[in-house]
Parts: sequence; C-alpha cells; structure tokens
Amino acid sequence: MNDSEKALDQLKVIRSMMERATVYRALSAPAAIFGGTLAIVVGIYFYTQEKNGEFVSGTQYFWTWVVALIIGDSFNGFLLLRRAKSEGKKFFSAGLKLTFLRTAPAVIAGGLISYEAAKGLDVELCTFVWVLCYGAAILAMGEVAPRSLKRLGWAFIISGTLLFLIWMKFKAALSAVLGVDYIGSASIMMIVTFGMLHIGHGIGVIIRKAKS
Amino acid sequence: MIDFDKLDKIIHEKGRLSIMTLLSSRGTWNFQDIKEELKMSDGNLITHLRSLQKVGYLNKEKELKGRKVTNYFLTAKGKKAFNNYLNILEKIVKQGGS
Repeated sequence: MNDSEKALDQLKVIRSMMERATVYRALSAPAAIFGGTLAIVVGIYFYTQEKNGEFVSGTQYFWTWVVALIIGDSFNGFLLLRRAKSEGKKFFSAGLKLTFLRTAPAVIAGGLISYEAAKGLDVELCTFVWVLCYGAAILAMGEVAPRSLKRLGWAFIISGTLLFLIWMKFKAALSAVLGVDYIGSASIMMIVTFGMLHIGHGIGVIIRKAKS
Repeated sequence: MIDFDKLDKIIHEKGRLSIMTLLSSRGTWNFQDIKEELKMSDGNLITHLRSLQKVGYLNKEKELKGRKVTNYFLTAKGKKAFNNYLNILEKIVKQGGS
C-alpha cells in the first residue's frame, strides 16, 4: 500500500465518522409510509363528513389531527427505539436531542398559530401553517438530516407555498369545482401534502436502500 | 515531496483521529456519547483523550446534569492541527494521483 492509498484510507475513516456524527434519520421510511397513510385516512374521513353535511368544528379538526400526529410519532418513536437497541445505542442519542432542539421553534410556533386559526374556523390557514412549519422544522435540522429528509422539507415548503398562493387567488372557483367547503378543501391539502409527500418519501428511501 | 512523516503522529492513530473528527464535526461531546459512538472501552478512551489534552488539542469541562457529565471540545490549537492534518492528507492523495 503506497502513501496515497494509506492517505485515502485515513480520509475514509474521517468521512465515515463525520457522517455517523452528524446524520440522524429522525423519520424512518416505514414510519413515513404509515404517517402518510394515516393522513390520507383522516383526510378522507373529514372530506366525507363534510360531503355528508356533518358539521365539523375547528377545534375538532385540530385535535383529531393532533391525535393522528401522536399516533404517527409514537410509531416512529417505536421504530427509532428498536433501531437504537439493535445498534446498541442510546435512544436519547445526541442526534435525537439535536433534532428536538432544532425543530422545536417551528413546531411550537406552528402549533400555537394553527390552534388560534382552527378555533376561528379558519382551517385552511391552520393547514397551511402546519405544512409550512413542518417543512421549516425539517429544514432546521440542517446537517443532521439526511439528504432525502431535506428534500422532503423542501417539498413541504414548495407545495405549501404553491397551495397557499393558488388558494388565495382561486378559492371560490376551486371550491365550486371540487364541491367542497372549508373542511373539505383543508382535508384535500392534508392528503396531498402530509399524505402523499410522506408516502413518496418513504417509498423513495426504500428504493434507494434496495439499490445500494 | 510530502509523505506520511509530515503527518501529526498524535492525530494519526485511528482512535484519536476518530475522536478529533467527532469533535470537529459537532462542537461539544460528552464522554458517554463519544464512548458509544466509537465503541471504545472506558480505559482506552480516557487514554486517547488524555493524550490529546496533553498536547493541547482538546479541553474538557464538567457539568452537573443530575450527575456529573464531562464534556470535551477542540481547542483552537486542536482545530488548526486537525485542518493541517487534513491538508497534508489531501496533498498526499493528489501527489499519488498525478
């Protein structure tokens, strides 16, 4: 082995340590698919409620989604715990702590603003806040997040912004075409973003893993 | 001509190189987290940390979080030494490729 090969070996050690030290997959692929499916189920439930003429209050909409979030996060937490155990690592690792710290501002701000919006029955605004703050929270993870998760963060920011701009301009026309009111349209947005983007992310990660 | 003799011998050892990389990638690390990440025994890790501290590449501070936690971080001298080490490695690789 010549000096150049030895140096490359040392650089490989440094690279793998850097990756292990910084990258933390806070959202596993199965949890993303599970969360996405759950979002579609809850979205369809609210959509049909409105179609059937059932009244849904803003707080009912808000708390149902919070419960869905808790279920999705619990499943993700269970998978992270299982991964930590199989790798012989602590569950509350430095990566998890850093993820919590970095995502907290966007999660807290998003939670407070969306609650006030939902209370005032402005569930579309509530949904936009969730989508944008969720994207901002993922991007706030910075170098800790793997590239695929960063892409998911950008997908939330871009789709949230586009949906917001389109909705602001064509709200009346879209409502008439889709035959939905405020709960129905908010549910469609949740299905498109939290539902489909999560499922797309999960499938993408699984495919890339299988390829590599 | 640059060769391996130019490399910092303190950093060059694999265990110490891993410690220096961890500390340079994310500021402060506590003893337990380093131990877990590198899968080293207490004794082995302490020896490497002491060697690096002795030459002034890293420093430690104790913190009370219910129990005593020892945090380690790179000093300015340590950061400079690690950067120099990387630069020399890069030059050796480039030399081999040309």
